[in-house]
Amino acid sequence: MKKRVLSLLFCILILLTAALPAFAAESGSVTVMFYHDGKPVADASFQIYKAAEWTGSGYSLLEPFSKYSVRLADESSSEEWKAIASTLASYAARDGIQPLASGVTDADGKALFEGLSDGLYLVTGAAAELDDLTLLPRPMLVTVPYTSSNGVKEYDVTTEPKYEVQKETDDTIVRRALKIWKDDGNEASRPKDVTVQLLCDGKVFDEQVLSASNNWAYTWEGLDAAHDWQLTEKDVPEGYKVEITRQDVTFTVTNTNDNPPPPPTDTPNEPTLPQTGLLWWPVPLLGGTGALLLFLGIFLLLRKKDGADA
Amino acid sequence: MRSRKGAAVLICAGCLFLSAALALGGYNVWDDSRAAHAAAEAMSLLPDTKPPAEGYVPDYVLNPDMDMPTVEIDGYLYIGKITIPSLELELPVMDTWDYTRMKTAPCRYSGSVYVPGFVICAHNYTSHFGRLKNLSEGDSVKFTDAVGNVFNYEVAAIETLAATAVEEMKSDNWDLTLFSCNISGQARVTVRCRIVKGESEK
Repeated sequence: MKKRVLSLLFCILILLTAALPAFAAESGSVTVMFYHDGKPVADASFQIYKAAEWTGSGYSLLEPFSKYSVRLADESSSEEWKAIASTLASYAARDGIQPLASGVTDADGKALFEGLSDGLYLVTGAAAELDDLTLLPRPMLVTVPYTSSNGVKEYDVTTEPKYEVQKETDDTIVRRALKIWKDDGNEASRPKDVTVQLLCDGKVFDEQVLSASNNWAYTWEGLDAAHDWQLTEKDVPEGYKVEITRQDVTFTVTNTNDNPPPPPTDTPNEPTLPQTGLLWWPVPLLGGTGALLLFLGIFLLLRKKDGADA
Repeated sequence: MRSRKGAAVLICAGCLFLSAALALGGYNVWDDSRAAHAAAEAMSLLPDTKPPAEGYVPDYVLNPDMDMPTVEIDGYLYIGKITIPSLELELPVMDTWDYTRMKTAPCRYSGSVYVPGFVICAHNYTSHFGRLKNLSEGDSVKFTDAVGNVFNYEVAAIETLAATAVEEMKSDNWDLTLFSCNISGQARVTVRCRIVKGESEK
């Protein structure tokens, strides 16, 4: 009997031990509060994806996001984090990645996502109506737990999404793709061209090849303003990471290659500036010498003649 | 008899030297004229550019680190044109430099017009940068990139640098630097320019 009780206690202990980390890991929540000019936006749809996990030295993208070669750097600025969110959201839309959870804001503009383990979450939102306005939430990244300024870990995170107001007067809009390379010393690794995809409400609407011949840029005109337009790079070049941002009408597709550049194959001589001069300096020298020799020759000739005459 | 022979040798040598001087001078004049013609032809082939439409934020404002757009003419890439009104010069500028390219037009030596430290070099042909030394502080210089963005500068300093002053030449303390060889070819006439804020046309 004593043996059976001990076995039972041991089993309970094992179960508790196994359950504790799971309980701790699934204890976070993200609350989205969506407001416009102080008014709550109700019935706005939001999705949450677990994008990355903390590995001890930094965040590492999880499947399926890890296949997109998106640059995730701990030293990223808030603008860069926004860019990462926007990039991941575009790929999620293009490939129909299923969110971890979906939710709709209530009358207070609140959507709650619970039971979240530690990690980095991507939150996206669909266009929402408020009065006569259409509001387009910008994708964002949220960490669970969130470490507050006084160092306290908050497992229940509240966030207010940034958004843009779609202009009612615009019948058509313009979108532009611009490729930027950040690969000092590795320029030889660049492909001759890359293909970008314009997404309309998450579906591929058009593909364009960017290369030096079009100055790595392309502009789409006459796009229907009533749709949500995003951009993705079809295949990220080998050795590069991608980041896509939008400012005004322009999507900037930045490909970064952080690999150390190959060492120079030979030791360069002391560098000098280009020789940009015509060879003028010998002209007066040659002319002067020639004139002097000519003068001397004629002088000698005349002296000899004078001597002979005398 | 001997001194007559010596005089003849001197006269012949003098004539040879004078011929060489004339030939070299003539070649230089011809080369200068050829370079003027080549640059003018490239200028005529540069497409007309118009600044981005109102309401568009130029690409370089969003991304100053972007590569400069180029236009291809006869197999060479051009990044725009430089205008120096006081020297009555308007010249195309090639994307990168080598001695073949510099026979046709000024070339980018380093940097980009969108950030400080943009350097353009050219041969000292009269029709290229041979008259840089005649510029004065305050003279205006204009650069128009391949998509029509205009950048206005004024001359801030004129100095002479040694041929080995590579890093000093590329200094980003100056928005734009122009340079060419002096007459001896041993040093570089260097014109430093500052951008005129608020006057760059989009």
